[in-house]
Amino acid sequence: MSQFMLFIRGGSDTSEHLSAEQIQEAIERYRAWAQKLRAQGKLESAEKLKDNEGRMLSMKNGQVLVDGPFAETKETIGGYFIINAENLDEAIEVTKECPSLSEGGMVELREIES
Amino acid sequence: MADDSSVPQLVDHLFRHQAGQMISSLTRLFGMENLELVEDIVQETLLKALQQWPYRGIPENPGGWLWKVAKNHALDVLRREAMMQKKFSELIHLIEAEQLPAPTDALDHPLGDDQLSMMFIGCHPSLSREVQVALVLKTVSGFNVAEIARAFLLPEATIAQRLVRAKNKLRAEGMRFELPATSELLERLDTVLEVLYLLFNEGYDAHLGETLVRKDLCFEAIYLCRLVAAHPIGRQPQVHALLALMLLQASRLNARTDANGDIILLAEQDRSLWDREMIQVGLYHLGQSTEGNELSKYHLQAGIAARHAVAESYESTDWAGILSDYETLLEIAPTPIALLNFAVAIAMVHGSQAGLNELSKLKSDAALQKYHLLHATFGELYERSGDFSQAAKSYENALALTTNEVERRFLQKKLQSIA
Repeated sequence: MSQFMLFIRGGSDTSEHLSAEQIQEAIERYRAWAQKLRAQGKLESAEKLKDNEGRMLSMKNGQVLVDGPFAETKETIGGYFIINAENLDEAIEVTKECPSLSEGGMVELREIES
Repeated sequence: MADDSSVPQLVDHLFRHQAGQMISSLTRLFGMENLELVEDIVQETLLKALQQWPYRGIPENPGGWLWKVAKNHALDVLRREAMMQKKFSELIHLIEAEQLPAPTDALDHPLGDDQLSMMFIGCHPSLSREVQVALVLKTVSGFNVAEIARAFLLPEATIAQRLVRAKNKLRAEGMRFELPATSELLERLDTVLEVLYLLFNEGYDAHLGETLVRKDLCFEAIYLCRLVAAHPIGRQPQVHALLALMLLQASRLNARTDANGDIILLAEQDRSLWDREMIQVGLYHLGQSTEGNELSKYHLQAGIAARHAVAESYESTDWAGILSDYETLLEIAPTPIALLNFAVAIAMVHGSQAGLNELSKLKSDAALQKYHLLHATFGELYERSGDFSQAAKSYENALALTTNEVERRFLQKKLQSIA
């Protein structure tokens, strides 16, 4: 069994045009997905990252530079899930059902080196 | 591994109803003139949940979570604007001191004063009926513009304009967020009931479009009416009567159309599809509505709906009772539909010819002449009396007058069946 990390980029459609009902439906899709994974023992953990507070650190001429915060873009990582899967193929299958895909988000799937 | 039952789930329409509660409670604080600001705060709150809950899961107390976030958003806004409006700096203390009662989480909670006030404002007599309905859906029920537009088969821009004009009007009139004076209360309550029944009928008389959305309107009207009925101010006989009427009618929703969405008349409906539980609750409220001496149009209509609901079959229905209910109803509210149904009841009690005689009296009414259901009813009664050529003529007249696709199909089928 391997562990994989799902980086959610541009996750939920936070368009202000979403109605209360649609917001609830979107949450419900995540709940159903997470519950299914949890029941199969495939969901290890998940966290939301704070918006607009990221910093980029680098070193230039021996000096640490701290850049940011940056405006949120479609590429910003909004949060992550860690899942258990037999292999990459199974991880891909699990990720295909991630609700953020149907909301215009992108998911980067990476295996955690064991 | 978590047991399914321990994972919090969301009650149906929770967000919508929480939105309505939060908008009402915050509008009381911010004032009607800041309704749009309040709507923004609530929208931001719901979106916050959408950003967090997918990762964290649904909190134990979703309503409490939302209210806490809404209060924090409100505080942010207030601090930003406090310099401009003195009123706002006082509000900050109120919220910080936890002086705000939280809206309750349960679906069956009694209507708070705030929501009832919001409903009274939405149903203000200075607004037209269509604007009242839209405003109540937007502020009390948490529908957005697109959903209201879909429900009424109107362009979104039309609904958006209506809402803007309504808000401007209320602002211009310096509308205060409070319950009407006791002297006005019952009159204003009547308007609320009118709006709720209109809302219900919009959903019940499914025209074109999405049936699902429209059923939703029926259940929303019932939900709101239940809230009104549970509030001390709304605990009135006519409120229970309207609630009974809507429940008894809604109990037949699943039996009224076939798989193709075609109409099935009462006489042909599969009564095993009627929602027995809803009928029981409807009958309960009908019982509640008899306290006091008042006999509203809702009482009579609910009484008629109840006679249908408890009947084993169309033929064995208590038509004599229904006939006498319609006689009384026509004295209070002689609507076209009531006049037609009165004639049908006469036909059931005294024979088709008697029904046709009654219908003929309506022919002189110019407005009714253009009403397709008058002709459809003629067709029905001629058909029952065995006069198929007159029946066909009447169905054709009805066909020429209806714009509704479902009704068209129904009338065409009728024509084929007697050809």
